[in-house]
Amino acid sequence: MNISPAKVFFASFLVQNILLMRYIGLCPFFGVSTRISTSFGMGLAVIFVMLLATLITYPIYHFFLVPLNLEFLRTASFILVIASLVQFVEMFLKKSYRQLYNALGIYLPLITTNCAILGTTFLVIDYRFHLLNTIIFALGTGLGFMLVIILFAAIREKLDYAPISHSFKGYPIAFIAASLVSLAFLGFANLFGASL
Amino acid sequence: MRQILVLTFVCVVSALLLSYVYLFTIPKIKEHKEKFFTSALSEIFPNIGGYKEVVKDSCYQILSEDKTRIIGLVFRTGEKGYGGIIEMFVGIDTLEKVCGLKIASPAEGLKETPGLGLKIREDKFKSQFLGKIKEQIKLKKEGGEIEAITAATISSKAVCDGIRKGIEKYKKYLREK
Amino acid sequence: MRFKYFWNGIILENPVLILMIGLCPTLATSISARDALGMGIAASFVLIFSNIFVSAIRKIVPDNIRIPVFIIIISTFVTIVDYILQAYEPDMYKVLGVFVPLIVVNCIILGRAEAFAYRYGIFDSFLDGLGKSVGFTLVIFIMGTIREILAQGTFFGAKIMPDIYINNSLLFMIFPPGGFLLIGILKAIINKLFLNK
Repeated sequence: MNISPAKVFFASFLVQNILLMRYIGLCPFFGVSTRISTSFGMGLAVIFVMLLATLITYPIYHFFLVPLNLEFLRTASFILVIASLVQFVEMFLKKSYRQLYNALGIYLPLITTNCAILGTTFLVIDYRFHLLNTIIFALGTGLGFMLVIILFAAIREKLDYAPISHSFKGYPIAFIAASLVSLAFLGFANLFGASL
Repeated sequence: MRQILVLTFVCVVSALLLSYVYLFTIPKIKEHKEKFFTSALSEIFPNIGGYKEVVKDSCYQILSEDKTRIIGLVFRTGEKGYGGIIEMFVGIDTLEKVCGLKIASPAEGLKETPGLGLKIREDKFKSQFLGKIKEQIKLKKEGGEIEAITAATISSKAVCDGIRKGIEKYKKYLREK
Repeated sequence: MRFKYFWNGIILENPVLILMIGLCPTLATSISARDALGMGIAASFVLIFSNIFVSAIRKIVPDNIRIPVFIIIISTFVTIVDYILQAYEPDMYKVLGVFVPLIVVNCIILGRAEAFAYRYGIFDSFLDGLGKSVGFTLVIFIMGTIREILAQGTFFGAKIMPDIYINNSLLFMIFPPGGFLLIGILKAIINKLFLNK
């Protein structure tokens, strides 16, 4: 699909935000977004793995699965590639970049089963992006994930001090807060004509 | 050693099972994809002698029943709506007037909002286009003659833009043999 | 006694409302009763079969490669569902879209394989899978029904509300904010009823 990279970026970053508009990657979102500091770490780890994962699965699909007529192995091969990629990144960081590992390490295993990563690798294929748009899309999606998770952690930190009725404590009020934030994100609809 | 054996075994069984399911379902899947075009064609031009593909997957010359002259064009066009690309087939006659419009259904990939943008598929909206030429196909507030759907201007505009661009792009094939 | 594995999944260990997993498909595909039911059945198929197969081969799979084996088994069934839907229910496939292949990372399925099917017998695993499936499908179906009625005034596409409501309906229920709001309210009701500590 031929569409300008700027539009792809805004669409993936805000207009069709992966968490609030597409509903992909919600489990870690509600699990981790209780503190700003952890959200920041998780966001960075997602951006990093998302870029790597799309950069690896894109050529696998287009230069290996499609020529061999093996499209039906897409789901199986992508999830295995991502799982081993995360393992590999973890080992590599542990050995060579100790500081980065300390910052991101604990989030990496969580990411293997994060549907945001796998979802993004499927979406770039379903949208028939070329390579540049694929990279931009992965970057925008990752940044969108980080933005929302940090925004949301800030809300939840304040919620801890709010007087909330017993039944609504914890998840229910978090969902309702998410509802309001996503209502705000609906306002980005068609921002700069960006939608996919 | 046992690990490798087990892993290989699981992989081989899985691949065999999948290739079987794939071979079994792929003809059906192909059939669904073609159905969109053939149903659009018969809806826009019910009685034709045949058609000729002039631009692959996009533009078709419609031939009269005795197959001697071109009586119109059917082309595929698409424009970004609210939820994604709105895909449609448009038929125009030799005077470049719209004579038929088929918009993809949600099953065929339309992602507009039910109750709002999805109303572009209703006859009340679609019938406005019949008999109009390119210059008339604009929303009223942009100086054209098309009444937009309330609260779904983006979707309505996308249909107009898609049709206008399509006519502009393919009208030369009305004359070409 | 063994049937407790089945009943547990419906209320006490309901995957969505108690364990809070599998949220993405629950919210994304519950925009109408029909789509919600479709997603529920697709995920149930994968969950039940992967539970049975994981349990069947649990004795020959060495511990250290169990996760990749689970993933292969699950993704096999996901791909089967994917192609069957494409071939026989193309309407529904287009609506469910990317969420069909994403069943593979649905935490419910890998979670049950690891926590239950790898430890218990085939029949127990089947019951467990069935219970969790019914629990999941029930929640997603209830949400789909409520959202469809509030947003479009229809149920399975058939009009059930008066025209005056349909013309002024709560359209926002079909958008993401409506989904979040509804699941928040449902979770609060469940907390009130079952988790009153």
